[in-house]
Amino acid sequence: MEFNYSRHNLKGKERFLERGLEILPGALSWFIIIGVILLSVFKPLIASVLMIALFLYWILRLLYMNIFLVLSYARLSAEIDTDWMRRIDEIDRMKPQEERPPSGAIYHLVIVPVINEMKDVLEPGILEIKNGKFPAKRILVLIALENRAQEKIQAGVREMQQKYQSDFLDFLVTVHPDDLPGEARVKGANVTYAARRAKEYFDKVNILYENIIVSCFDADTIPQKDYFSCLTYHFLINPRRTKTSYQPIPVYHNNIWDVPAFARVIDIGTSFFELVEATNPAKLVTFSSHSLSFKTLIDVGYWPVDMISDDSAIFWKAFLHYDGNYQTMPMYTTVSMDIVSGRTVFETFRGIYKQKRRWAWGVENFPVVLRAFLTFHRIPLSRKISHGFKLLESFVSWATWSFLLAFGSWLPAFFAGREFSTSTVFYIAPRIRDTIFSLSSLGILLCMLISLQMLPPQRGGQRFFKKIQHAFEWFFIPVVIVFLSALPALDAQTRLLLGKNLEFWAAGKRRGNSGKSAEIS
Amino acid sequence: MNTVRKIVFYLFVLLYLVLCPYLILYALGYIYNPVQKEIAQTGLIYLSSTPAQADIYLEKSRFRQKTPAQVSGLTPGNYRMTLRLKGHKPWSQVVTVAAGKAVAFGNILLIPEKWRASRHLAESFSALTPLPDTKRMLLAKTQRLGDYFIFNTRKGESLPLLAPDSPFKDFTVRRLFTNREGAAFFVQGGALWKPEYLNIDFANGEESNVTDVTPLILDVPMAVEWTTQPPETIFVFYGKQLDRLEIGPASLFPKYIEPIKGFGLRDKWIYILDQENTVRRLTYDKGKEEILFRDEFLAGQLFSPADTYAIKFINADTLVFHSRRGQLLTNRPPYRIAEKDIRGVEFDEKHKLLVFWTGQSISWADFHPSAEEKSIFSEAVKITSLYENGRDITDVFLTADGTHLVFKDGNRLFLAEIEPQGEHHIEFITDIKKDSGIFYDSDSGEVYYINSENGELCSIEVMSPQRQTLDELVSREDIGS
Repeated sequence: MEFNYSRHNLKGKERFLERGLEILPGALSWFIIIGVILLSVFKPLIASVLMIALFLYWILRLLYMNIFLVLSYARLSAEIDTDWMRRIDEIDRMKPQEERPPSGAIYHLVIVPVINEMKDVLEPGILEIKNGKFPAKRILVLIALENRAQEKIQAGVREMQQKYQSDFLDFLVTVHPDDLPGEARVKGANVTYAARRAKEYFDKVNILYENIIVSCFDADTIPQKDYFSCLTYHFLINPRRTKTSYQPIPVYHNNIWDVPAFARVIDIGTSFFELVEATNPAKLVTFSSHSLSFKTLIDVGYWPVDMISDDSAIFWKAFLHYDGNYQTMPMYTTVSMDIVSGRTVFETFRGIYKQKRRWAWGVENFPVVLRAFLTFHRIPLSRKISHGFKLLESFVSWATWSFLLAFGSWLPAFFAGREFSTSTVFYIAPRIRDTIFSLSSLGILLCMLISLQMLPPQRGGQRFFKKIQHAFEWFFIPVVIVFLSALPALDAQTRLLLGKNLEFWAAGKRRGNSGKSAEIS
Repeated sequence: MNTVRKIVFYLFVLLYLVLCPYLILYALGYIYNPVQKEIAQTGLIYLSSTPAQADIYLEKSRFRQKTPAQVSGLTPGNYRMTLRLKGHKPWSQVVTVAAGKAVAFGNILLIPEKWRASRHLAESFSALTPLPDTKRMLLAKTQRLGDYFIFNTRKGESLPLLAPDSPFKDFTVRRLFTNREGAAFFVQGGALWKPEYLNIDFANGEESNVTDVTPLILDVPMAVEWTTQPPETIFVFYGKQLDRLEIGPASLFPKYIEPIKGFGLRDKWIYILDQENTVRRLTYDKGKEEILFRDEFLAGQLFSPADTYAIKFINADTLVFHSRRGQLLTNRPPYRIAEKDIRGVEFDEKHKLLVFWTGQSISWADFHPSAEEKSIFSEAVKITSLYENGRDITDVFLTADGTHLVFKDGNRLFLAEIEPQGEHHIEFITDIKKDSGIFYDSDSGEVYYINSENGELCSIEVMSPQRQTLDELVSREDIGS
């Protein structure tokens, strides 16, 4: 069923519904935060009791997530040394199935959007693709340049094209014109433009769309050597290969030792979140660098050209296009990216804040998806409720939990009048809270241990001391997540609530040793 | 993995559904009584002491935790709690526990078996006068002004009050008028038939600045108050009129406001009780005036026609009227706090406590009683007696955290603990020199006094500095002396 997956240019009832649903996440988040404050002021006893219930929910949820974090990490560790090419060979040797193409017919399209990133940011990723286990000659690399990219950026891309063209199936560069009608200045518009050019290319060389897997990477993405072989394998064994997106585990190891501690822990937290999400494929939504069938991409109309969150939006577009018969398959292989950084600590902080706000802007999908759910009758109601609830709950909890944990525990006592301060709750609630927070330190300890295992080797000396230092950085988390997770999320939801748009901002990426940095727009 | 996920999910849901009500009921004080096989609501006692780590005894059983600790799961009833710590006297109290309620003894001060006094000055003094809300006190060897010294508790040093060449050295001091914020004070002295007046301030830092203001004083003042802004404006109350003095230009505004029978200063307002028993306030320059209270019938019932009043403030909304004859009134029901003999008042703005005393007793008025203490006919002010066996109570100081009083009864110094319930603990500290005052430094928790044996300035730390909260607002007024 056709549905215009956009929040812009709506009319009448659609517009009204869209606005109402845009208001909902932000309104709910503010209602919760303000509600807890007001309750603490006027009914501290009730607030205290409510906080006990919330803290208990939080610690159980944390423990629950930790269980799956461990399981997911165990699987990642187990599959890290898997010889995917050998597995692909084994599939080829199996009895052929009509709908399963031979591995030799599979091609990869890698689209890398570029606007501000210098060659030193791009090239390592290209090199890894070239030197990966999957034959580079069956990979088409496409650099999607923005027309407004600076001359030196464009020159760097052309240099790489010349240098690596012969290593791949081809190395294309597209230049996306500015301000095409119907487009916003978003990455989705650029990669869609590039994908259309890639389609023309594949038409010329007669490669079937069903046999092409497209991967949309960020400019700084460095895939594991086995990424494409792992992807090919999962594609081949999946009977619903064209009704599936493929999501690797994102890690932020490119410059992890070159950034301040708070930047490190917040992005390791992102990796952990994706590890946990990977254990629930039924509700997994694509995020950041991801892959899908090129045929699917064409069928659903490419990425949205007017939305910032193209990575998650493409999943929803496909989900709706196939009447809910679409899901994401987690892949236990990693893609490594940069942690946003600037020349100073403040710039780094600001850069990360903006990036997280952009990620949280994924809430723009909520009203669109809900509108679609109200229209699409062939999607089972249970799936609509399940996905809709998860979509809303995940964004609202992202924006509110850190504040509740940071402030909700002591607010009732702060505003306590004599009536409350002479109740047993006034004294017992803090003990319950302290016990729960002590238990949560087990979760932090677990995260600490897993992060130490996942960290890449550090350049230079003092590895042991660096690791110990990193372990203690996890104690920053209670402060960091308020300012670099909850606050940006609340910011994004509030903007959506007020009907504002979020301008696309290309995150500043710099590498410690290169001495050069991408410019921050 | 999906199956595992579902199983784990439902297990956690079950865990939450079981634990959540349990924790909430536990927080509300409900426990399961296995003997009676029923769920009963209990109360708790919170104990915190200074020093900490005291052993807690509930009746005769020793509690496993030391202070600070909560003793929870107590069925409603009376319990004798005792704290014991080596080197300190035991502290004991009978506590009534109610269901779902907590009784907090958050500031128990364990009294050392022997108080340790520090000697500050080896000289002998005969009198000590505190300068309220400052770190200074006046020490006198004789009645001669030249024999007065200023002692700064922060610096621990004393300096002569007057410069060596001051013309006022032989001035005989008969009476001192001190200010709420201690920036200056009046000295009345000279010949009995012809009193003279000096204004002494510390505008120059530690050096005193003495001004003869005798020409500006028309009669014997009942009260003197200084404004904080501008600092050199003084209001002198003569019983029916209020004069305004400007020290700098040596100006006098006689009968600046009259006829009145009471006044007080707060922020930039002069609060007046006029002869018609109307309470008004005016700006210092009388440019703006507001009537705060006018009720002929009620005011007539409350204010005595022949008395004069000092107006004090618990906070911006709560006024206290202290009459020369010792009556104490407030603008909150039941209005009358005490009818006579009140010598002095001290109040704690943060905790909304007013402490007042006669020569024999000390009581306190709580302007913020808890909800359960209120009923349909309950009052907005709860009055409790703290000490009733006094002989001659004069100086009373409230500690910064509002939990203890240091007071002088005759020539003896005492420490009293204000308990949330039960009897109040009164501890004797030391004997002090006859008719000398005391000074309590709320920052250091030390009480300064003159040793009864040798006249030396000594101090005893009755409260440790960590207990003090620096943002406490404590004001003191002692009109009775």
